[in-house]
Amino acid sequence: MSVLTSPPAPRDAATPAPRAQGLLTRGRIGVLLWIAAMVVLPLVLRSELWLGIGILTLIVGVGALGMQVITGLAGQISLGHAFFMGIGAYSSAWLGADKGLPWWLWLPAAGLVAATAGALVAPVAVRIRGLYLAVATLALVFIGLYAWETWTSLSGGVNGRPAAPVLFGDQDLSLGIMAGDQVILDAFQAWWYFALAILLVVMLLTHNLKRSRLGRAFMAVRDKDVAAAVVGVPVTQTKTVAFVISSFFAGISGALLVSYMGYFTPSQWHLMLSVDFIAMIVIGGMGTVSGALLGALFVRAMPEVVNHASGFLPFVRKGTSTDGGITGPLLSGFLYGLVIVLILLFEPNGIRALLLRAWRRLPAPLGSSRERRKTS
Amino acid sequence: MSAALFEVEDLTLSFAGVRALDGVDFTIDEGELFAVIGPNGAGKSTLFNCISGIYRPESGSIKFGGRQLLGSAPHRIASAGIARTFQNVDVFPAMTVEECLLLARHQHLRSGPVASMVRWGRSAREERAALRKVTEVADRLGLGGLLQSTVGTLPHGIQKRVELARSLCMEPRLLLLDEPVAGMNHEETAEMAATLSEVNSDLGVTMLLVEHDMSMVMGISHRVCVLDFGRRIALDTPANVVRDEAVIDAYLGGAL
Ligand SMILES: Nc1ncnc2c1ncn2[C@@H]1O[C@H](COP(=O)(O)OP(=O)(O)O)[C@@H](O)[C@H]1O
Ligand SMILES: [Mg+2]
Repeated sequence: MSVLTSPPAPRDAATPAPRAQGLLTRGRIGVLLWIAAMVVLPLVLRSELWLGIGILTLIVGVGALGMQVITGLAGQISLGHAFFMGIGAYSSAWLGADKGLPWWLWLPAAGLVAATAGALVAPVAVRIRGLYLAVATLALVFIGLYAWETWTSLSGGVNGRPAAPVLFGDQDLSLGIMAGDQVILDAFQAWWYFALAILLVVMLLTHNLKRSRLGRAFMAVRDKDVAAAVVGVPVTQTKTVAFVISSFFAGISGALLVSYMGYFTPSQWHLMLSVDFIAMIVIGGMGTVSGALLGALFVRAMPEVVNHASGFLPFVRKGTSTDGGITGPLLSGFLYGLVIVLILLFEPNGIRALLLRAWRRLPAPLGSSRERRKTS
Repeated sequence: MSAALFEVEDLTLSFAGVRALDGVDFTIDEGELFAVIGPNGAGKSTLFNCISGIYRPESGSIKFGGRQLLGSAPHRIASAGIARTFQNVDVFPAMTVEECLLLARHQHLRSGPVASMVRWGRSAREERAALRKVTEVADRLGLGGLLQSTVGTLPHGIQKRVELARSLCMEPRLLLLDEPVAGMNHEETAEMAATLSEVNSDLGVTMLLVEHDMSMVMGISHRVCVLDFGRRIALDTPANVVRDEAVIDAYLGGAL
């Protein structure tokens, strides 16, 4: 037995591994603080513009987590996200607006229809890799665009169509929640909390997934597929499951997005939407829950911040312009690209890694161990 | 002798005219520590790649517990009970040691997509049991204190140990080891040799060990098969192999 324990073993083999688990670890404190901030924010934030951006961020956060599953965890670069979101959107509109089903049916159904589409595409998608996969999934987006524009009875053609409302009893979330004559939550607050609740569920599911049998298989397939197969991971089946879960989240996100907007057109399921989602996980940080959310926030909020700032910047016009010069959207497009380049060059782990480093420098809060700082 | 656990018959594979394997035959009994040696380029790694389903041989047969393995996908061969390590360590550098070992429990766990995301009841219990198993194997191999370390940051010798631990976590009936001491110093080599022989005798894992270095193999293996240019030139006990004319000519002669 001597030989088996002879290599450097920093701890006595008889004691169980020191799992870094107090009730309050830094990670948990971070999550609790974030949730608390998300609950308080709509009560104190009085700008409708920023409330709207916040709600959109929460909604696309769900989609970004879907992107994180297929690309961040399983390593399959998919440009098909807009397609699956569109499928979720149209299924929800058909079930919720046309058939009058309640949201707790059309919302999961939108995810399931998108997941089914993912499962149908998967047999081809899991057999191609890298750039070829990106191109093949790109084709999906254009097939989708064609389908939505042609199938006018479902989509309303280029004019668009109304989305499914979220009704609680006889109250429409988009009108706010009342008790008698008393406004409990205005429309923004109501949508904020609704989107937050869904996002929290999807965050929890993704977090669990990452630490599960399947999550480990995703990462193994992403990093080395031959070695993954040799340890018993069925590679194509694993990729298929990643596609299905990712499409499920995309479908949910698409359904929420249009329901919040109330009305939508085929053109919004364009390639640019897929690219936005890739940008979110690259900028925020690949393969992590918080990275997806930070990326969603960045991509949603940045154009508005720039547009806002352009009022104060010399040589920059607010809004679009046809006579040349630097406009807000142009500047934000430029910054967007610049940030991606900077991230790829200097911090491939995204904004999340930058923030984490800053967070670790803070003095340790109650209950959390300082050992972490030594090892990092 | 009872029916062999593992049988290779007439295995042949060429790469662009190079015969990497040329009619290789051998059988391994349950519990045996069987070694394949031979100079560089003799076809040892190719043999492993055929067994684990990465290469498809042109002809021949590979049977495990009486079942034909040829044509099966690598993950099915793994589920059948064959684990392996690679000549150039093939670990997952971005994972922690714990994740890497838990990954190897994949085929012993049942959680599907929904159970994986919900992590409640059986799926949570299953994860805890897997963690216990993994901790036990890590402790056995002296990796107990390194479970939370990122594999890529560990020294080469430890990574080789992680890879061995990973294949033991699969609870294989047959373990294939491709040059487990390559790149190790004297001391590490001796430790690894002792570990392997203990795994074989204590855990009863049948082993197929490939080595370039003859001396390490001689001390611990029950039988040795010598390959040269893809052909089997000897198959005997270590004591007899070192005295074999063909082996001395083709292998030792060249090395001396
Ligand atoms: N994938 C491959 N493509 C081409 N030739 C290969 C390949 N794999 C192995 N070979 C050739 O097969 C022969 C045996 O190689 P290998 O099995 O790696 O030898 P060993 O492991 O005994 O050193 C060598 O001549 C090698 O160049
Ligand atoms: Mg070799």
